[in-house]
Amino acid sequence: MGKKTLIPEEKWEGLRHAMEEAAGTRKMSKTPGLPPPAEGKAARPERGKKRGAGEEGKKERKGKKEKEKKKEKKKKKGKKGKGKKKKGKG
Amino acid sequence: MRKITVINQKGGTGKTTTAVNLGAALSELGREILLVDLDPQAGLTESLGVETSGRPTVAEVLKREAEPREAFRALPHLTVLPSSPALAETEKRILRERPSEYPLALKDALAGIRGFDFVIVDCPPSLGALSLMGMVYSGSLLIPLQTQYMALNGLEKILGMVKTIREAGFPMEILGILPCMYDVRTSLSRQVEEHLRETLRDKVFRTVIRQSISLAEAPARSKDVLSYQPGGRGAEDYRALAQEVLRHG
Repeated sequence: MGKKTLIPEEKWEGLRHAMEEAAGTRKMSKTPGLPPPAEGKAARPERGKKRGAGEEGKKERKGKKEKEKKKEKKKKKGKKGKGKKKKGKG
Repeated sequence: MRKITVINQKGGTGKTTTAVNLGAALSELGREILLVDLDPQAGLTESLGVETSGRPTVAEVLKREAEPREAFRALPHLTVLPSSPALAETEKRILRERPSEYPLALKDALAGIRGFDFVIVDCPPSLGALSLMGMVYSGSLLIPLQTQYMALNGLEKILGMVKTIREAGFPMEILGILPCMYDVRTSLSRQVEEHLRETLRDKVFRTVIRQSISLAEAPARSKDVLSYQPGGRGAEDYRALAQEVLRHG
């Protein structure tokens, strides 16, 4: 049977941070030479959000959609005797 | 001269007990000790049976109305700079008159003292102006910590204050966290001690102050625990702490 933990792990993590800050030994970056992460910005994407969920991600996704549309148009042009073009959604 | 401030904003954590008995244990090892009572409740002063009526105390020293030497009381093994309830009023007055320099009040007032190997300051159970004066005076903190859950919240607050003071330009080191009132029978005590060491590593003293009735009884006889029960558990623990403090340099 595992040992019953009476004090949650987060409490100890908080204490570790507080001590590092009090002693002035808090490391901002684990890799020497790398600049510390900018304040206020999360180093990793927030939970529940995928990479590229920001403005840059939007641009990327738009570019992909346009490429796909162009491909579809080419396919449609290539086929004959299909009658009227269907109107696109939206 | 080594200076140590014993601090924890929570009451009943073992601050006064630690200041008195660490002082006594260092004195037993041949060191000259000055104990400074910086608590208006004057627990340290009373626990050693020091009379304050009609003589200056730390309150007058802080107001610069008396020289430290005039206020010192020499006991057989220790010298005490006693406190009195008047210190609460002195704190307010210093804050009013020296709002930007008050953290340096104790440092300035005790600047000229000589002849001691250790000065140990006992702070009140708060993180107010008097505690700040005590912290800035020594720049070296000993934090007694009950091995209980609620004590950990208090520790985080002290560490936050240490960071603020350091960032304000005052040198500040944590000499160590001292697990106190350790009850070997409870798993909570054992877990808190174990995790403290895992988390804060060399910032936790190896010595643990175990729960002991002699530590509670000694002040009733106006004695330190080494005089009251030299062979007891309390005396043994504080002797070990004194050795550790000396090794720390």
